[in-house]
Amino acid sequence: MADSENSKKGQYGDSKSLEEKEKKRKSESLDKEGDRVVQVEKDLSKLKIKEDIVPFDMKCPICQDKSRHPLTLPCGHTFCYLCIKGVYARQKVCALCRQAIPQHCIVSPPGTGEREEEEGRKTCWYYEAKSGGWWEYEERVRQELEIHYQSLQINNEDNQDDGQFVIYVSGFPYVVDFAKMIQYRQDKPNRSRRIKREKGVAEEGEELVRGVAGIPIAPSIRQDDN
Amino acid sequence: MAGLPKRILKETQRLLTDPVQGINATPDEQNARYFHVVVAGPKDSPFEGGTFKLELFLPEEYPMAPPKVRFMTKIYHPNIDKLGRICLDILKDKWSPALQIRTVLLSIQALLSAPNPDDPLANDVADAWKTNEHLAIQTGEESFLYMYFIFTSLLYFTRFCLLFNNFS
Repeated sequence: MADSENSKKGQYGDSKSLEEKEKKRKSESLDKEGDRVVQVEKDLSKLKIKEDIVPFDMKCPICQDKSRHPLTLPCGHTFCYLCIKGVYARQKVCALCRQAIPQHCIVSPPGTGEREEEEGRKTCWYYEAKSGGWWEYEERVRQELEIHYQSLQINNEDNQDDGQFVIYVSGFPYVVDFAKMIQYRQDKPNRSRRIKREKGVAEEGEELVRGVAGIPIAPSIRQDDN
Repeated sequence: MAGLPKRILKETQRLLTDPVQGINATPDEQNARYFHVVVAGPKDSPFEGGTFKLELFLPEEYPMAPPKVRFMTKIYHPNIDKLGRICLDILKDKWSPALQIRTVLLSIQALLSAPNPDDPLANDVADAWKTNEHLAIQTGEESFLYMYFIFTSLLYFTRFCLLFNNFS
């Protein structure tokens, strides 16, 4: 783990240090009382040009990353769907302004469940929907599943692994069992759901894929569950 | 176990390269979720000139759940108890996942400047603070230990008076 981090740092070293300098300059400008707003705006425009920096309006304040399947609440604040779902499960208020989150925002999100196209993607991960069909895992969860799956394939040759591990989705621990191909929330082991991995992006029609992570693809099939 | 989330990596990196003034947070070599923190006593507070060690731990649910923060240095403060546990709403029910390690530590530093004796954790300290707040404000230049001495002696004096009243 540590090694891979180091190599990443080396790879992106130059752009990262530039980014840090940029941030430092910004924070310094904040200290000065005078034309601070102008300075910050200048810095912001510089930040937006850089590719590896997520623009402020697309950044999720919770995961500090690019918003995945962004959901805008009535108060105007935008988060990743899974991030704000985790907040709703605990506090039911906006993470930025503490305004109440209406239930319908989370239960029937607007149709943003189209899958994000990605280069070099070869597999799909799905979990069972409560009332039939499958939900595709969110991009980041899917990547984590694939990494675990791959390492299990390699390790299985020399040692017996039980094939279980924990992933965090919306801040809740889920146990994924590759031997049984099921997942369940750690505190609710009797509510397990089947999972499946498919090579290639699944074609529509065979078995119903409802959308991504509880967000339906089309508004017409939104009614049921997530 | 799950790897370190990207957010924690980002936060750590920023804490190291762009630190907050008067606050030093470094991750433990063995555990990237455990931070060794040193906070400088804020200016114009009774804690000015002092440095306070804290420990900060990011639970698995972070940022959905708040970090666990504790003072390692003994401190005489109405919202911090003998074991260093801190009574601060954002560390409990008012936590928001939009808060970060740096904002949490800034809030703790602010708590040192502005104690909240109406919501005490250490009742004895809160009482002393309420009755003698002017002392706390006057003693910008005096040492923290001196303050501690004044407060404790006042406290014991009040207790003594109460005891005396009970017996007479």
